[in-house]
Amino acid sequence: MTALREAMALLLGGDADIWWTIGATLRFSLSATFFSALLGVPSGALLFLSRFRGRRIAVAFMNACMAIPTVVIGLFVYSLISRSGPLGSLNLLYNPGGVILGQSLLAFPLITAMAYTGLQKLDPRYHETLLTLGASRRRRMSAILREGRLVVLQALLIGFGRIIGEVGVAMMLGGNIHRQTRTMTTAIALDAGKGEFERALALGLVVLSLALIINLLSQLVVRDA
Amino acid sequence: MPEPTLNDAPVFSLEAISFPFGKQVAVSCDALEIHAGECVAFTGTNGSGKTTLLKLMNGLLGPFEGTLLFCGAPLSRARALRRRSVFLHQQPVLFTGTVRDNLAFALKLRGMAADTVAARVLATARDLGIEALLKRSARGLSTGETQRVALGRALALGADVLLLDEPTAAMDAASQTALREILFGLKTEGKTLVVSTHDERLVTKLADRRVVFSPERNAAEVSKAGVEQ
Repeated sequence: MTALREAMALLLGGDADIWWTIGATLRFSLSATFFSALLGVPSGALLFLSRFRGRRIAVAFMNACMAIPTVVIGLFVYSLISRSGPLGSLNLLYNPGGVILGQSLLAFPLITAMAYTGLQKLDPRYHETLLTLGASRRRRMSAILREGRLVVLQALLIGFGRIIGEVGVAMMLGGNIHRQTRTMTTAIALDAGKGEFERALALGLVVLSLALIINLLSQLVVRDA
Repeated sequence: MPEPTLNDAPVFSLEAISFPFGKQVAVSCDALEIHAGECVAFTGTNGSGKTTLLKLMNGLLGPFEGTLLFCGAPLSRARALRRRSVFLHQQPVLFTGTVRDNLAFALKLRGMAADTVAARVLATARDLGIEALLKRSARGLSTGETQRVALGRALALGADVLLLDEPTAAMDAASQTALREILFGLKTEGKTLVVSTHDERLVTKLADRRVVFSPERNAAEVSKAGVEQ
């Protein structure tokens, strides 16, 4: 109870480091969600609208990618952005850009698969109506995404939830550098290791609250959809 | 007047059509021709394949075995299909927005200028008696109103071949009568109508021919014996 009280005091007292870390985590996570959505939502819609050989394999691949451990994605991106890697000159490693890139890749298959699954639950008459009215694939995609905006929003929330709670990518690509790349989860790991349990608990409470809020929002969205 | 077809070919020409659904045949059709300006009624029990055949004829389902021509061209290569022919669901869906948005939707797909779209929307709404609905949300309409707006969406496009799936189902008597009158008017204008229906009054009022779908094999019997003039 004492630890919890002290954790709350740190949060409410406006501890600068803690609030910087919370702000940075939100910045990284929102950016990564944005970038993975840019690619993931159209990909999910294309999978939904297209009928091509290998479509089922593509869907199965996306689903399988959701289960890849974050450290494996971290390792993959590390090999790309390390000094000797093909993107080494961009100087992304141990910088926010590297964390955002890794987290975008982490959420991409999840957002794609969730958007695809969500759109499949849409009334099939929408797609048939668009076809019979002669809409091009691009027009069909925009109309379907408009009608399925709530399931797309749910996919984004789930993607955001996955990113904000991950530790492997942020640790491997960000390096947990104070006031540069430190996120809530990497800070929790560090603080707990150092024995600063109250600080870890304070951040843990924030992560937990965010996870609850995202889940509640997601459920509201599903109900309305 | 109906748009002339290639070499005066029938609007639809079906021969030895068979559409599988899993290991079963969902619908089959030995031979059927539908000419411009005709009204053909598809009748038969639920699940006998009426809707499936309508969707095949609009290119919404496939692949299938057999020959299906639209205005003399194979369905897959019939450019006019999407320009001239529209399928309407038994319970049509309208898109998010107002009734005006829905009527304008397909016209905008064709890249029409805003003033042309506005004029066509208004003219179609007047023709169908839905002018008063134009500003209303498309989501709060009755079944009859929804059906008329969906019909308007097709007519605003200039479609002259309408494939209608049980258009008067789930409507009150007044709405049914109103829709029958609208469809009769369309037939008089020379539009080609293919209507799947259980509504005998609609068949009596509109249909030039009837195609009966048998319930046993979930297949259409459109051989000469199956067509009751």
